[in-house]
Amino acid sequence: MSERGYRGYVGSRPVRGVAFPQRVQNLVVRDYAQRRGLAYRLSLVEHAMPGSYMILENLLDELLRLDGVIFFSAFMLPPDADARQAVYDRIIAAGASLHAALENRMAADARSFAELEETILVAQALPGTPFAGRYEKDGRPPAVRTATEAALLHIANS
Amino acid sequence: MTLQPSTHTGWRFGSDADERTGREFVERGYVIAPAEDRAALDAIRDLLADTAAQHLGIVRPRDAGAFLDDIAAHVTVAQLNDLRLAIIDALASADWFRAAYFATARGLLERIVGNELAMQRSLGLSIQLPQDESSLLPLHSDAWSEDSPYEVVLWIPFVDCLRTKSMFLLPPAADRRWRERMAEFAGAGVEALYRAVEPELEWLEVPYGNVLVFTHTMMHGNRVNVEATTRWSINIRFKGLFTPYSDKQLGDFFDPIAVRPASRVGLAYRLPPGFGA
Repeated sequence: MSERGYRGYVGSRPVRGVAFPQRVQNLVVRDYAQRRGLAYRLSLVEHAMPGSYMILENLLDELLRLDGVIFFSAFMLPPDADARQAVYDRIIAAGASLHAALENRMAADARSFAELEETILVAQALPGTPFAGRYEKDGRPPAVRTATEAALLHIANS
Repeated sequence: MTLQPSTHTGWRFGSDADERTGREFVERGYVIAPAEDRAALDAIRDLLADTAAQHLGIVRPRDAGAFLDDIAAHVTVAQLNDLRLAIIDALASADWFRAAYFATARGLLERIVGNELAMQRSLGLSIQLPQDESSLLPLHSDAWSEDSPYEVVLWIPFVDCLRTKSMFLLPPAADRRWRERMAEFAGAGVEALYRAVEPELEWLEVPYGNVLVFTHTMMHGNRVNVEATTRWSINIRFKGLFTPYSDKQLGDFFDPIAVRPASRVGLAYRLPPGFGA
């Protein structure tokens, strides 16, 4: 096991609409590190203020002293694609790796970051797809917000 | 020259195969079809047999199917979970496995689901020894828990599966009827519901060489395998990439496997900047 290790990165904002307590985030990150045999280094906690990635910036500055980072979730990366690409580039340049504990996945080269990016882009597009890309299990019929959704339901029921 | 309208009435959006498959899937809740890539199917079965033999410390017989069928001669119920984990690990480590699995039913999935697809990242492996009561999956619908009803399951047997060595489904018409009455069993439990629907269940016959695609919205499950040989099957879920997800989300449970160029262009497109708010 490397001496440098993997720094955890947890947050204070909801991830994909779900607010995970930091204690739970840390449990998930530590469990991931243990299962993968990664030397875990204490997690940094991102700010609660929307749009702040100041802690992530500190983490990226530390990359040359780390083997990699373990995000609680890949969906804690910045919402802007260019900003995400800058994160990927810095991790690749440092010869490090990005792990996402909740999604149980890792990326360390251009190809694996491209696969991760495609997944994030599609996930970001889902709220704009019919029914907001979400099947709710609240026992109610799907909410119709657009003419497209009304037309699709009409087809399904005809 | 004037075109005759009567000579231009034969165009349709769906092919005959599309319509036949679609009708069968909606009416029966499933489609069974020959594997589209037999080499891929055989390669997966070989990996199962090779890994099982290696794990059990025996020489793999030439006939992989017969070896899997008779695996109960080499493993006990108590040893089964370790074998299952070893095989899941081998499948997950084989970088060709997911593409090969998809290749066995690519056209069928595209006809039933679409051509922009998400595939479950993990897999379900069933090794059901004869008389083993520890590997049962009670009557359920996946849509009752974390899954989206837009998903389908690609279920592939690696031995001939029939009767109790296979799985059961409650056909769509009966499923709709019993679903309406399900709350009547709230105080009685799932086994009571099973007893009620049992006369209407369909046990699927899926010989090796075939694949099954079904909607997990229908009640389904398995019972004790009372046949003479062991069931081996794998199940993996697929769904339209841009159709609604439930709690099994893209990125953790599903990954995109087919994103078409127009979608890539759309995903990457940004309106011209610099116009203020």
